[in-house]
Formats: sequence, structure tokens, C-alpha cells
Amino acid sequence: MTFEITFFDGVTAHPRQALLTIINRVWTLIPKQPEEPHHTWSDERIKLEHYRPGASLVLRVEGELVRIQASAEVADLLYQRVKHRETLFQKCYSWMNNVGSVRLVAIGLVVMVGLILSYALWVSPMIGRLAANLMTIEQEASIGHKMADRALEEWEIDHDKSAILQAFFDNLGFDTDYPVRCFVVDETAANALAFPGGTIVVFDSILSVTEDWQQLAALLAHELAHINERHSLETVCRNLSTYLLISVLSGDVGGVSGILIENATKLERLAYSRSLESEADQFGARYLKAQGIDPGNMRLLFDNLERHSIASSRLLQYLSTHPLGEARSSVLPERSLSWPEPSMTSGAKALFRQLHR
Amino acid sequence: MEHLEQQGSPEFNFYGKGSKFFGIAIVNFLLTYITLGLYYPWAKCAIRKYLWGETEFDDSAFTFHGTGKEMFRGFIIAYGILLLCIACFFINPIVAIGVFLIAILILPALAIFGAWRYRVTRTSWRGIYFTFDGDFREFLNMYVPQMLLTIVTFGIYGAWMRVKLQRYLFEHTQFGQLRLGFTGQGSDLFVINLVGFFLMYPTLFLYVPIFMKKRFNFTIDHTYLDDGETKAYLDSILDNGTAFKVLFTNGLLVLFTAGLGFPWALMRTMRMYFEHVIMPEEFDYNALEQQPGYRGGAVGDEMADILDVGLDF
Ligand SMILES: [Zn+2]
Repeated sequence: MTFEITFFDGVTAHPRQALLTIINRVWTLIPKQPEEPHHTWSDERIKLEHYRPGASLVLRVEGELVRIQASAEVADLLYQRVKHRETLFQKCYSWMNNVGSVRLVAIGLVVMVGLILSYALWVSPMIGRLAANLMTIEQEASIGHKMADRALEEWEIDHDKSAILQAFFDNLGFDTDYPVRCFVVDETAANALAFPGGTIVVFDSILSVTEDWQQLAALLAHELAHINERHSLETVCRNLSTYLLISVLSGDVGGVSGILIENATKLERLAYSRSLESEADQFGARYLKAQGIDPGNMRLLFDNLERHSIASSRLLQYLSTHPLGEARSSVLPERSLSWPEPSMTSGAKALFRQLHR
Repeated sequence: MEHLEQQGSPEFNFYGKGSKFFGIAIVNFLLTYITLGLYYPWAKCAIRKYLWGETEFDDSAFTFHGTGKEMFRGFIIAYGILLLCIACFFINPIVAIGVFLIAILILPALAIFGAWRYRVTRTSWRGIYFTFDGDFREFLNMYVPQMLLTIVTFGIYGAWMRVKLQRYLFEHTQFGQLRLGFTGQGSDLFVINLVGFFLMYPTLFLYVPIFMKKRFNFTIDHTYLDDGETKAYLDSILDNGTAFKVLFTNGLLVLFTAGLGFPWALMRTMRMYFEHVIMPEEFDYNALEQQPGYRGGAVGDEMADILDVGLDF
């Protein structure tokens, strides 16, 4: 192959017209001025320093700078011959320089949106799960109790009702590894929260929506499932994953619990993902069944909550922390009329009546 | 683009495109973000390679030869120096104050000197490098009293200092065998700055383009090239009307696009500056010859970035 080029020999800035012949990976430069010296380079001695698409190549031949200017086609052909020697950065730079600018911007923006989405959908839940998995039950309980205590400072605890609810919960005898504490707080909003490590906070207003003790049991079973399955911990960690990431990267592992406790009150406004919600429904229903309570009460509770939320906006808060899946109630079993009466009924009924007094 | 056919006085052209610059900036941002900042020196390298590569003199583009690797090394060392200074505080407060005082005098000097040296010695045109033969100790000996004078005069002396530094850096810079020089006077710069200061607010910043034009012309018109026999000055033909038209519309462009128009504005500004510089006709630029010269590291350049100082001529 023979090309017409202009080249600069790295000694002077004088442009030299020349014929460049490439045969068997040997480049031969023959200047048009007869008195000028010829140059012969083998392929492997040539390194690309800079390529400007369709215009010029700056080469380094054994340390000496050689610049070639040529027509767009020739410049591109020469570039194709040397581009396999580019470093990773040069490849990236050449790609940016070659691809059309509109496409470059479009690709950049798409990747950026993709990164943001993948962070929200994938990286931050993963960090949440990772942080949750790294904690032992004891650590979780210790941090969780501190979080709950911090949050409870903001609310007015009804100590009498809290004691009754605790007795009601203990009477149900659900299986759990966590030391579960139950609280009733006087708040106009209707909500129920599960803190990591075993604290259930029930807002007074939601108690009136539960029509019988079995629905209240279903509510507690659902919250307990969030605790047992570490949904609360995961959701909090995920929400704070950016902070956590920074504190872990900066080596400040002790900072993790500080961040969690500092942000305890945020839990009130954190929403579980829909998949965690339906998981809590399934597990909650299983807890009910294990204690001889009809799991259909779970469905009844949520139908009930949904119905009431239309009439009263106060309930919206519960539904925003525990979002309803569209198929939520249809997935859960219906209440059965022939379900045998559970063993704890009399005690539970009495406590339920006290709670509603 | 690069044809080499034109005759007459060689001129500068700038072909940078806002969209391309924007694209490179986005890719840079992404890579810097996902590498937690480690890519930053390479990002800077990509931007410079682009800007240098789109600037032509006499139909040949400049080339930026700096690499991400050497800038990364500079970046690490510059940070190391700063951390070392901070670490002194934990050892002994009195030592720390001493180190601190020395540091605020020396580090900006290192940044200004190093940034200029790095950029100059990593630039080539038609295969001929720019070279620099300044000496940091010499520069520092000049810088420190100048800085102290500036502090004592509450910044008034700053214009004179700036001119002195500029002269030193220019006079130690060569383009092939052509040595740069600078004959601007501190008093002239002071007057430009003073007028700028008094007119900026009353004109609601409409004076900014005129101010920038005056500063630019001050630098260009007082810069000369010297081949040992002939001294010849550069000339700026940038006028108030052009400067106002370009810079004012740039301001609007950035303002009304919430900053997204910045790449286009920057490209327009650079184009305006380059295309209004007339190089002296006295020299045959084809006869430029490669000179031996300094090829040191990038510490000062990175320090300039970290401390956010530097002379932007
Ligand atoms: Zn839930």
C-alpha cells in the first residue's frame, strides 16, 4: 500500500511531502524532495501518541515524535494499522473522538440513568441485605432497641395499654428468636411499626380498626414477620445505604450503628417493598396457623384496613409503610367458618376487651 | 481541516464542538464516579487532549502529551504533601503553625509554577515541543517577597505580582527556538482591574465582557517572541463589540439552560480568543527546531487543581 502524506520528522516543524509505503509491516517513507533522507520503520517500533479522526496521527518511533497529516481516508487507514497498540485510556479516548457527538451524549446519558436506576434497584438493596446479614441477632437487637427508644421519645407512650398489648402478644405464643417488646402510642395517625431486633409499636388509632382479637393477632403476626425476616433492618439499611457505604469505606464501622440510631424516626415514613410486604403476609399467616388461629384473619384485616382507609385518611399512613399489593388479599386464604376455636381464645378475648376500653 | 495549503500570516483556529465536549465530560463524570474519583486525572487528560487537538496553528493541531498515569502520580504526591502538612498539627501545634505558614507561601507557588511547566512541556506542534527552563528555587525567591508585599498592601500589589510571575514563566518558555517574553506593566493591569471593579456593579455585570477582553488583550499585546535576533509582538484584534456579543450571549446561554449550555459557551469563548490572535509575521514557523528541555512530573499541576489556584493566561 502506498499513501501520499505530509509528515514532520520531530526535528523541525518543516512539513515534508512524502510517499508512505507499507509492505510486510515495514513502513518506508520516501520524501518528494530528492535530497531528504528516507525513513524505514518496522511496525513494532511505532507507538500511537494521538489520533485526530480524519486528520492527523502523532506517532512515537523509538522515542522520536513523528507527526503525519493526511487525507481523512489515509489517516483513518493508518490509524487502523496502529490502533491495536493503544492503551486502555487511548482506546476509550479514541472511541469518544470517533463516535458522533450526539451519539456520545446519548450513550452517556443512557448509561448515567442506567447507573442511577441500577443503584436504586440493585446496589442499594444489596447493600441493605449485606449490612443486615453481617449483623448478629444480638447486635441487631441492641441497635434496634436503641433505635426504637430514640423513636419512642417522639411519641406519647400509653403505658397501660402497652402492658396489655405485651400480655396479649405473649399470650399468642408466636415463635421468635427476638426479645419482642410491644408499645401502644397515642397518635392520631394510624400506623404500626416493626423496629429491627424486636420492637413493635402500634398507634392507638389502628386498634379501633381491628374488629376482633384475631385481627389484632394478624396485625401483630404481620409485624413480627417483618422483624423475624429482618425486613425492617434491611429496609432501613437500604434506605441509608449511601451513608452506610461511605462510613464502611471510610473504615468507620462504628459509625454504622450511629447512623441507624440517628435516623430512627425515619422508620415511620419508610415503606417496605411490595415483595417484602407479601412475604410478611405469608409468614404472618403461617405464624397464625402454627398457633391454631385461622390465617384467613390476615386477609380480613387487610380488607378491613383498605375499607377504612377510604373513609379515613388517617389510615393512609399504615398503608404507606405497608403498601398493599394489588393481589394482596386474593393471595391470602379466606377466613374459614369451620375453623376450630384456638386454645388462647378466652385470655386473648379478655385482653382485647381491655385494650378497647 | 489540516491542509497546509494557505499562504500568508499563520493564524490560530479552534474547532472544538460543544456537543463533543459535553459528551466527553459526561463520560468523564461517569467514569470518575464509578471509580470513586480515581479516574479524575485521566478525565482531565481526555479534556486536554481534546482541547489541544482542536486548536490549530497554521492548519496544524497542537498535541497534549500528558498522561493520566503521570497526572495520577502527581495527584497522589500533591495529596501526600497536603496530608503531611495536616499531620503536623497532631504532632506539635507550634511546629504546625510554622509548617502552615511556610505551606501557604510555598504550595501556591509550586502550584502556579508546576501547572505552567507541566502544560507547556506536554504540548507539541508539528512534532516540536514547547520547553521550559525555569528554576523553582529562583521562582520561589521572587514569589515569596511579592506575596508578602501583596498581603501587606491588602491585595493592591497583586496586579504587579501577577505581571512579575507571568514575565518569569513566559521568559523561561520556548516554542522551538523562539523564546517567549512579556512586557506588561503592573500599573496597566492595576488600572484595568480598578476600572473593572468600579464598573462591575453599576453596569449590572454588563461590563464583564469588556473587562475580560481588556485582560486578554493586555496579556496578548505584551507577549513577544524572540529568536535571538528579532523581537516581535503578538497582537490581539479582539474588539469590544465581538467580546460583548460572544460573552454576553454565552452568559445567557448558560443562564437559560441552567448550566447545561456551559460546554457550548466554553467552546465559543475559546474560539473567540484563539481566532483573534495574530502571530508575528517575522518568523518562519516551519523552521522551528526541537529543543532539549525539561520533562518532569505533574505534582504542581495537581496541586494547582487541589488548591484551585493558577494563572489562567
Ligand atoms: Zn408490613
